[in-house]
Amino acid sequence: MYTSLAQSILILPLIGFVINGLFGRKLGASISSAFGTMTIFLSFIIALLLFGHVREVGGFEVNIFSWLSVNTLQINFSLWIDELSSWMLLIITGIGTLIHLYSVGYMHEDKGIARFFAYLNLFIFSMMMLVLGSNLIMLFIGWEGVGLCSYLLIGFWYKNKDYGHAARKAFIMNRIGDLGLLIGIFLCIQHFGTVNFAEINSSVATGLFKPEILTAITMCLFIGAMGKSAQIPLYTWLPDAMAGPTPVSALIHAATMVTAGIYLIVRNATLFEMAPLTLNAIVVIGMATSILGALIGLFQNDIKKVLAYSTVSQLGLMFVAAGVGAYTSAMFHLTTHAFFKALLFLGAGSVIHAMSGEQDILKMGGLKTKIKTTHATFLIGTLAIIGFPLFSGFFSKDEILEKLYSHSPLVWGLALFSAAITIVYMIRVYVLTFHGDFRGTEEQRKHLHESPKTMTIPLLILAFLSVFGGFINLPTLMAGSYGQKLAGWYNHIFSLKTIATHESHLSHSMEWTLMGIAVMLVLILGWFAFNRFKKSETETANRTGFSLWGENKFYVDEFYHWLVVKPFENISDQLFYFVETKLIQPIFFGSSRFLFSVGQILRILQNGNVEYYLVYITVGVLSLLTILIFIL
Amino acid sequence: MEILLTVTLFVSILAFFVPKKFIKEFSLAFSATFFLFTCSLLAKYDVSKDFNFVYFHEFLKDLGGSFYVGVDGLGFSMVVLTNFVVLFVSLMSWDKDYDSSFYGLVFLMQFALLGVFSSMNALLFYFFWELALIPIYFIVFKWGQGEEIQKTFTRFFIMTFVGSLCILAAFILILCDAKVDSLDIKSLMPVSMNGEYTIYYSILLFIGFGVKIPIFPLHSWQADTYRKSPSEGTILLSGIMLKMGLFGLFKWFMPFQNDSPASLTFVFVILSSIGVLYGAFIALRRNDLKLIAAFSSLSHVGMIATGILVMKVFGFQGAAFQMVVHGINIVGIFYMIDIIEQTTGSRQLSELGGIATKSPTFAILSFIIILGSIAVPLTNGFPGEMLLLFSIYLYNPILGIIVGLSIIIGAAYMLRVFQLAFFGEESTAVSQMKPINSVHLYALGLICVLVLALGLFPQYLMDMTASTAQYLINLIEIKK
Repeated sequence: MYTSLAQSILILPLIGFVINGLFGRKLGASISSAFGTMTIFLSFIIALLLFGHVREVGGFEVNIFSWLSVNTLQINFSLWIDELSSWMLLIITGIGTLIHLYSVGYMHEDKGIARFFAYLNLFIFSMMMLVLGSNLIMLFIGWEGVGLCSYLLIGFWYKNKDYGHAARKAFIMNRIGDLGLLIGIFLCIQHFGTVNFAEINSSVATGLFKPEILTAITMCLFIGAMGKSAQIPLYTWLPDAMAGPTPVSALIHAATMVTAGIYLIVRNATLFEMAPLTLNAIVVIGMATSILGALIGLFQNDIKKVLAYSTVSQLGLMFVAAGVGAYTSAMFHLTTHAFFKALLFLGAGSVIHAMSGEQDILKMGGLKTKIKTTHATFLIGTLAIIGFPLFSGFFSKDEILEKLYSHSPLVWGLALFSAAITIVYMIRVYVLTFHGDFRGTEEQRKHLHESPKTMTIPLLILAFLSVFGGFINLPTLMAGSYGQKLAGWYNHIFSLKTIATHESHLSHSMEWTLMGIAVMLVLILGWFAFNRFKKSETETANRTGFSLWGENKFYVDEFYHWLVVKPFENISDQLFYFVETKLIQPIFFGSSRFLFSVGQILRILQNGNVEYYLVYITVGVLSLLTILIFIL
Repeated sequence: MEILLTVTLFVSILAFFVPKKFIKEFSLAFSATFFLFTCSLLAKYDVSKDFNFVYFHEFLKDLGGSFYVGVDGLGFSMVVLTNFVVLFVSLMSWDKDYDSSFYGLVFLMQFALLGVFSSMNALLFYFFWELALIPIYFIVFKWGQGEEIQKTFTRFFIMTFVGSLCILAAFILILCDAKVDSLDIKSLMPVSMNGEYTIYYSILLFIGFGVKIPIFPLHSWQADTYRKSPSEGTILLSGIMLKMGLFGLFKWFMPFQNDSPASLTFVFVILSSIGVLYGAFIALRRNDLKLIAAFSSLSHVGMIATGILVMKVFGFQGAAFQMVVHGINIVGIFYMIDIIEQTTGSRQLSELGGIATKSPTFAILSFIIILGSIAVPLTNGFPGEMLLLFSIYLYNPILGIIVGLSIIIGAAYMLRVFQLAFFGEESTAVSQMKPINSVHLYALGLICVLVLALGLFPQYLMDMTASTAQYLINLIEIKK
């Protein structure tokens, strides 16, 4: 029974995709959107059942068919449902359902609503392939699949050229990462002879492999993760991806797809544990991304761009956690982040909806009395992300900080710095949007309205989760080992390698101190920022120096354009106009005179009469044969 | 096999004399029958045998010749592909105005191609190889368009003809060197050749097949020929004719290549992998859709050739798979371009845009074909490309990564095409777009089905070609 359940969880969104894709326009907006949402909701129910089953009996594999078998290489189309993948399933389908529901309201006026739901369903399918695949190739199929859906959804409003450009950028940058991942897969096939996770893990456990090989493999996988999870240097696509409809930003570019990189590392934790060099690289890159993302987010005025950079920054933090071996903490933060970042994005969508499409926070303000539900839920999201005590983000971030401190106080300090910037920019967005005077046009003021129920209900549910989501993994400090639900849940898969080596050795008083510092930081800095931004709302009209750099995203896009795009275009033109036309063509065709004379001779033969040609054919072949006879 | 050959020849002669009024129905009926017939043979194909549908008749024995035909897995896949492409030629020309002689030449071409893919004797192979060149030359010449077509197609003819002569010379050398009295494939293959001519015929064969494939820098005939040919000629050339080169590389080159020095192989590998990036880079910025497709094709077949030349079982399998897939996808791409050109009157990207608004169905079908071409998983482009890259990676990791860059650039230029042609606001040319004949949409739909089916279940085709790859590997192992 659970075998067929596992298959149907994959098939349901696929049915939604096919029906909506083929017949969506005939079904009409309400039926196609309801249908698209129902398939995901049903998947969520199945995900709950599977979760319950895994709790009882542990992980199991479902082999569907043999996808490819060449020589010794055997690749099955099979699913692996264990603690990790069933947990991811819950996040994907749970948040997926809420966002589908939200989209029913958000997209109701759009002509392409059936297409939108078709793409969303396809995305959920691909994402489930990604987490359910029992081998690297299945993961890769989902991996590129989600990239494709992301491309389609970023460029959803296809008449706009800039959106199309952003979509292409996302796909191509992801492809760079994908090449890394693919090479990693090749290395696995070459050295382990298999792509199956379980078999790779048991091969690695034998300890027969050279550390250089394991480092190379993990580095390649990490490059893949960099692309998908928007880490330095492949992060610039994510902010541009905000061109897509807001539910897409919430689902794909905040809660699910971008966390695939973390999933990849956690899934292959055994492999990564054997490659300390890669782990250090992950810490460095993750930390740098976390700080850079937060810094740029500080200076952006587009509400979605701020949230996008915030996502980049938070993903960096998860990588840091994974890099020090705190896999459970990374997964914990991944989960709470999915709650509050989806909430913030959907809240932002509701704000944009109310403001008739305006995204610039400098032109908002004073919305707290106009759209009350959105305000309340956005506030909760903000408090959760800055780590306000007892909100979900507080627990997950605190757990990471604590693990970092026991790894190295320097890393802890940097992470705290990043968290501090996060507090400032989130308070800034919140204050500029909801407090002060309204700075939009009269037109917009008239249209201000709270969003429909289909949009506010998901907000309320996500707000609830953002508040209480932290209780799935309370610190031992407060609730003893009983509170560590998530850790207990993952205990089984990480027990082999990590728990022993990375057990925190901090004393209780030290832990309390660290937590105290974090709490004080939130309260003091939060209060300070709140008052500062309340006073000077439009301080950003003319920026100079560092903040101007920040507003222009430190010119990284321009740098990439100069470093990669321009040279590639030049190479293309040089090859075509110089190498192809001026070099290769003349070399192979000699002087034009020679050609001309050949042409003259051939012209006599070409009288356009097919019967003559047939004679030529016969004569030609016969004479060749005659020549042959004489030669031999 | 011999029946199929005879019937095709007969049909081609018949086609010349069918009145113009019925010729389209005639050609569609026969090409569809041929295609379905070969598909039905799939059921009879026995993968455990090296060669199926064998027929032998003594002919020119003194020269080592014989009328010896039969197909292995790869050859049979190519036979099916040939009939597939000819079917699409008939479909594509459905609402165009061609003479009977056009279809006569197409069927003659089909006859020659079937011969190439089923010959089991080198001399017979060469005969069909030469024969194939003649009808296509007249097709592109008579119905081609653009400036200086005479110059372009003369170049094309001369280059391919010189290539063919190289092949002939190589076979003669082999015959002298191997000291066997028959050029039949079975007597020729197991022979080890370490004579003084090894390097010469290696190079000659490489040039001969390389022109057809084409391999950098022997590709210079390709872009202009594709551009100026009628679209039917282009799909014949790109869909199936360049597979002759790859097929030759597979069947008539690799068995001998093993005896030549590794450094020479290395040069060949480097040359063909240069083509991969060269084509991809050039395609990045071009404006003419056919030119982009031509260079993208150069890039894709370069990878297939590289995969064959590195002599790994994964490469052989990937190449065999990809030969079929490339045939399907490039036909799809040129078909798409032809539809665009026929309905909007332009194939310059700068004049296009917004087709998706005008015809969403066409946009979706085209997108699926493009996905296949950029090798997105679960489309047919992925399994082959993965195996090819893996084999190149095994040969040399650095080369594998460099060639792998083409999957990034490939995505870049193909998505650029899609975005500029289909997305955005409607351009003037597109706003006056004529409605698309549903025949063409169904034809594209059939290609899309194949794109997805082979992507989801690649194993069927893999099983087909596995015997060929294994046969070749065994041969190489034995010789070592």
